[in-house]
Amino acid sequence: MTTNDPSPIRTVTPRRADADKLAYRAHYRFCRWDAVVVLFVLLLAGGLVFGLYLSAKNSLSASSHKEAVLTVDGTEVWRVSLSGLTAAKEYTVTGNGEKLVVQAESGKARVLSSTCRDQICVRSGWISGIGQTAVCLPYRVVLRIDAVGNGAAAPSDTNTSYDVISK
Amino acid sequence: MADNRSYANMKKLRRMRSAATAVLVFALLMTSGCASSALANKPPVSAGVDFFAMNTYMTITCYGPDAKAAADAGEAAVYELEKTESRMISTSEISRINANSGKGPVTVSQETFDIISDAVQYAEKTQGAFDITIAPVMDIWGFGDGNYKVPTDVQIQAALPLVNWKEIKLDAANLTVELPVAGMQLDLGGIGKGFASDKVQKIIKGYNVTAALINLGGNVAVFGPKTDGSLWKIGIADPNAPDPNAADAFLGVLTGTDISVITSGGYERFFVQGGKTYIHIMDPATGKPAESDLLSVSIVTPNGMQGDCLSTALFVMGKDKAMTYWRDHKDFSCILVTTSGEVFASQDLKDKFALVDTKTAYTLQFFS
Repeated sequence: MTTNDPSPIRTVTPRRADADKLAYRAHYRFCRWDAVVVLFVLLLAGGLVFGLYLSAKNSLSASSHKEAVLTVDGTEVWRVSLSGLTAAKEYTVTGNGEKLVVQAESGKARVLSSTCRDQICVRSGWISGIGQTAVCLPYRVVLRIDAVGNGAAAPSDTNTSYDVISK
Repeated sequence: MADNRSYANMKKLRRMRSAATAVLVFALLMTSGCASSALANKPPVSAGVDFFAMNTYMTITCYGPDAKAAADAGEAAVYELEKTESRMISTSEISRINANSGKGPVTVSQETFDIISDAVQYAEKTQGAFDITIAPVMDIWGFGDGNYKVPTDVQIQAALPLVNWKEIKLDAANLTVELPVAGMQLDLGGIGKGFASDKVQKIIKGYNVTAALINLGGNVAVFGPKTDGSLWKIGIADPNAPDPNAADAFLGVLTGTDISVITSGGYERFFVQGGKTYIHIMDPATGKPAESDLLSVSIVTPNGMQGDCLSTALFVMGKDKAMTYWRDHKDFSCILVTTSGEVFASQDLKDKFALVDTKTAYTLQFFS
């Protein structure tokens, strides 16, 4: 034993006498409560890792994938993934002498042309942010950007500088 | 002696180890506590509906355990309201009032009576700049049915005497509304969406909704914190954008919650004839499109109906009268955009409203 060392912890060294070792083992053997603590800590750690995994998975699915969704009077008629589109895709809505053409490219979509009277849908131009829309009131057509897996576009997931526009 | 001493040291050691274990467990508990609260912070259940009503496109997005039921109830309420308050639906209460103009009083529901009496109060407050009897003038310009045309002066002079909110006879005891002059017509277009927005809010709050975004055709209402705990960012449309209706054409951003933001501007609906632009906001005094020095007016208020009425009224008033109106009342905030690119925001928006960096054509001033 080193007697001039003020720290009790430092006294537990491999250089101790065999008697000390035996006494140490006698007093510090692995007991029931140690098992409980170890189990407890392991459970906590496991829970923590699982939690982090879940939240990482959530944030990934929210940001990795966009789709353009076209509805006519509330009914979905066309849905196309905007990730990795190499060529433009088009869809045409017709009926009653009306014609509205939608175009999708990588990451964005727009109403290319419409025979409607106010042309607001066409003038909305390209849309790309999650939750953004191009709307044709006369034909009740909505082109919307959705995050995959999210039924309703959640405004706060859009990562744009605004949630909504007052106009 | 040596044994005693080492035994005493061991006792000390054991105490220290217990303490160390306690600290370790405590630290782990804290960490996992943080982790689990981070998990609990993940967005609450959200649900949205989008639909066409009141001649516009609407979305209602709710957050909370009963978000879907809440959004559906909100949508249903808008349809109900449209059925009773639209003058384009022949069976509505408003259509019944209009059909009986010059004939006698019409009994209406409490709700319809309340909307009309509130509208009359705003007409009085704004000295007729907002007037729900503007319909005959809207119609001769084709803003009723979308067949736009410039009327003759004779047509305008014939329609103008029918525009006078003071003639509306309200009987609160019998819940009747009367338009005493034949040809007078009510149109709740300037107040209906604001009222609808307030009603939707009331209804969805009955469904444990923690936050919501209600967008009734650009007529915006938000409440509660966003899913990340932050405030809502509401863009104010840029009336000078190549297309102000483009998906991301906004000149500034307002930050806040528990507010309605309602914007009126000539860009919303207009037609061009003979090289001249005719906007849909009518001046009840002239029977013609308002010749305002404003391009748009945004009203920020907890009361959506007030916002709807005042956005139209302050536009018709023009910049100076609009500022005076704000100074005289101050029960709302406003953002005025002038034809020369100045943006005047009321002083109380100082920490809440800012221009978008790229919109250098505008200058922002706060007025008081």
